[in-house]
Amino acid sequence: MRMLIAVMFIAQPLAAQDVTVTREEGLAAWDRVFAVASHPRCTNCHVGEQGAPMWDGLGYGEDRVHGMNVRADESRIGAESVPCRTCHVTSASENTVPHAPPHIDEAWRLPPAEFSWLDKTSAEICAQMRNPDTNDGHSIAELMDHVKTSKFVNWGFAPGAGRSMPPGSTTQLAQDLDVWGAAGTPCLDG
Amino acid sequence: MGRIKTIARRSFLVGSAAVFGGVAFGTYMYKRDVANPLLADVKAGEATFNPFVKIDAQGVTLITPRADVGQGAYSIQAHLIAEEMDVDLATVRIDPGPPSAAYYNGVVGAEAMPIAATSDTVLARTGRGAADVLGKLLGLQITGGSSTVPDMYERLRTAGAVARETLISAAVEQTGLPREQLKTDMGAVVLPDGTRLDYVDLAATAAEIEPVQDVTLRDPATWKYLGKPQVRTDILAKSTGTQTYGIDMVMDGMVYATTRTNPAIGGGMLGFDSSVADKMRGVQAILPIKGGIAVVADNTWRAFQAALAVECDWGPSPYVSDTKAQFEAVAASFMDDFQDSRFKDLGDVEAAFGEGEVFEAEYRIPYLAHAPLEPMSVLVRLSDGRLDIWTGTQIPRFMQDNAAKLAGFEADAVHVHVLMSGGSFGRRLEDDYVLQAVEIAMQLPDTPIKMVWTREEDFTHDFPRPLAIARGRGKVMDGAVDAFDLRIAAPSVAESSLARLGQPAIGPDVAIVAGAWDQPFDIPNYRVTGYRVPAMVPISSWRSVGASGNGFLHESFMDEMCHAAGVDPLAERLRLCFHEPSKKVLEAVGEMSGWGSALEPRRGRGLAFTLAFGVPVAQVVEVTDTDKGIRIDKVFVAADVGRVIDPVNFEAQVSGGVIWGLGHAMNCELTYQGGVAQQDNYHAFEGMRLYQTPEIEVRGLENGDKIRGIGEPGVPPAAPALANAIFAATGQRIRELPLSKSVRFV
Repeated sequence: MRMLIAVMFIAQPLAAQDVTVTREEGLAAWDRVFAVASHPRCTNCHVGEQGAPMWDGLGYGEDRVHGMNVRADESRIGAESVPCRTCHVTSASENTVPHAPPHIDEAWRLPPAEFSWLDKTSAEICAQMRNPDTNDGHSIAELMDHVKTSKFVNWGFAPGAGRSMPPGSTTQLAQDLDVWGAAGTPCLDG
Repeated sequence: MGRIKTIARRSFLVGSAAVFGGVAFGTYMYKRDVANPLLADVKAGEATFNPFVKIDAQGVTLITPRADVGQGAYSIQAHLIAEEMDVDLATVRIDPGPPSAAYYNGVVGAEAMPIAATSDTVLARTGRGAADVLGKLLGLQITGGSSTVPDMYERLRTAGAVARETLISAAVEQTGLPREQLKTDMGAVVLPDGTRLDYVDLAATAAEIEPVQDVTLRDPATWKYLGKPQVRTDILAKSTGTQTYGIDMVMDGMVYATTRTNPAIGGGMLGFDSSVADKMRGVQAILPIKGGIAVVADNTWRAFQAALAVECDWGPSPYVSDTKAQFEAVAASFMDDFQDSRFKDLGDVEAAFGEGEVFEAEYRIPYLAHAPLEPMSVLVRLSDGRLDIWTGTQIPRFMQDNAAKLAGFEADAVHVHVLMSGGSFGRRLEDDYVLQAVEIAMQLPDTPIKMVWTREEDFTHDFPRPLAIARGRGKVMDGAVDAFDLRIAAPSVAESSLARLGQPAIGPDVAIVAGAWDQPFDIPNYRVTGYRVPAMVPISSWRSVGASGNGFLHESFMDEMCHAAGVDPLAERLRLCFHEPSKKVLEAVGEMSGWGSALEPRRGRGLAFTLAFGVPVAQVVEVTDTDKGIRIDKVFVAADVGRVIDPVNFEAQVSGGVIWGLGHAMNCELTYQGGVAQQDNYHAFEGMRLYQTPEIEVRGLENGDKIRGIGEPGVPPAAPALANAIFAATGQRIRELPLSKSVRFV
């Protein structure tokens, strides 16, 4: 019984527990979250209103626009006649072939335009992330759940075929979000 | 049929009367007609009047022996014949024909001679005539050098006219009506009462009479097809995805193969272990071939996968095998011992440099792959002492000879069937991939074998365009370019590629300086010197050959000299230009682009001009220096081919050449490490993207004295015009390709 309580305790987000997390600890956790959010594996798709995904971290040299010049448009799924899935197939197979369009077992789309990270500072993304209006309507607990369950996020940490990866893991990312949330989602500018 | 008649029946008219100064072969061989290869298959009731027209019960077939590698060659050739023969292209078949000496190229050889296109001296005319003679004597069936139209323009129209007149004669014989009362209309001879005698129905009679050789070509004012936009014969199939290319060839009972040879060029194979690959799904055989292995499987993908699973022990490349060392070898070749040519030497350059400041600059261009979209592929079948080869190729006769030698056959036991190519850019002037397939066929006789290379195999075994360095020295005087001394060092394409075709490479290699030495400018002290770099990795012709890179070398330096002189680059070229058609294209592009008018800040225009393959081409590129990089906004092109025979195809070829030239200038180089090409697919050797492609405005002029081809001449000025535009917009002078090493493009 004691063990069960311990497991339940650990499984609860810090924010739901009576745990004290300092602002410094929260900011340190945020720095780790930002290292992920600002990594090309994430900013390639969190591109904002421009709707044009990026190609970076592919060994093609500098940061650049996706070679086929696709536009996600308002639907975020690509041009209605040429959606992302035209090339990025929905499949659970491994991504083993370098330079081939990667695939995951979920419909391809870009994140909402307001959830833009490309070329943003740590403070800017921090402010976006804690505001449900600019983070796709998520609470911190939902964000934690999102990074643990989203196939896109999970693929980002294991993209295969020699593609670059953000630091850490989804578990680590969720924990850092938790700490950051428990500290009151501090950002450097306030 | 008597002997005289037999000879006449087997002959055809040589369309172009070449001026020939008399060489050791004597004139008899040259003047004697070449056998018509179509006679080998002619049956009773069928007729052929020359190597380009055949009529049987199914209809008319036009023979279009120059390869179609995407440039519309089949269409143009068919239109030339159809115009004079008076047939509806929708009703005829088009066939590239068999390899034959009758399909020799009489023009392409002149490109290898140091004859400026602007020269019309007796010596120049004699040289061109000699090229025609040599082409005929050697039976040089080759597609290249933008020569299809200039070589075939008269020959194919004459062939059509001979066929038409012979069919009219057959109608005279059938009807007893006088010739004057008969005319033709879209595939039929029309009698005075309107009765139509179809060509097909006249064929049997026509086959029995002597072909009429004395024909008059139609007045261009009466042309139905030529000079007007035409629907390409392949456009429907290509637009609907139904065009079959070489790679699409299938045959009952065929097996699928691929090959893998040492990626370190020429390194050979010391041994291999196929124990894993042997057990893979679908694998039927793993065979040794020269320098590597071949895998035969039940589909191409499985063959690819198994080939990668074979453990190979590769030998080292015997060549100068790293790009740094390769460029060092080029840089070390600017010495008298390596001087290959000095075809241009006006005034006294050394004396001109005697006093005052001498401007100097060095330029570099990299190796470039051909990278045709359709990878190298072939279907071969060796059976009962007969070898059949189906592939897209520009050299069917050389291929026939090389395959025959390898298989130990006589050449006439080798049958090359030419198929449509999905791009070439010079790659299909080689037959290395076919010889590999023949090696497989020799180990698997009586089996049709379809051999396809992976893209990686194609990139790493290409024969690239050579790298080069140019060193320019110049001087200005009184606000004008006064001395222009350009030295270019590069390995010799002729030395490398002709050896593979079993041909000697005699004398200097014009390609090292083509598009530089022969430019139509009267600079008081003007010198262009070529240095031959000792052979490194094997190299080959690449779209627009020597001029492809030399345009950048010459025109970048010209731009710098104009700026050094403080003069407008267009005005100075016009002042120096002695060739009227070239002047006209410069004036045209100036007018089209609004040259000299103000541009917004951070925008710039660049001009370049190259006369290559006899075609003067001037281009103006407009760019904007945006916060995210250089954007190419618009390109203006004026070119003069003497006579534009299809305005739509002309524009397509010029636009394609510009895109090709710009894309490679922006992004592409082939570098080597340990003899291995480091760019092995398009991700590392990137064409211009659709969204980067500027609007291109093309104007065709017709002031030249000869008709010329346009497949290649649009390429050379693109790179320097872009680099000069970047200089105009940013002040940054870039002297090395690709430009992406120095600037970023959006």
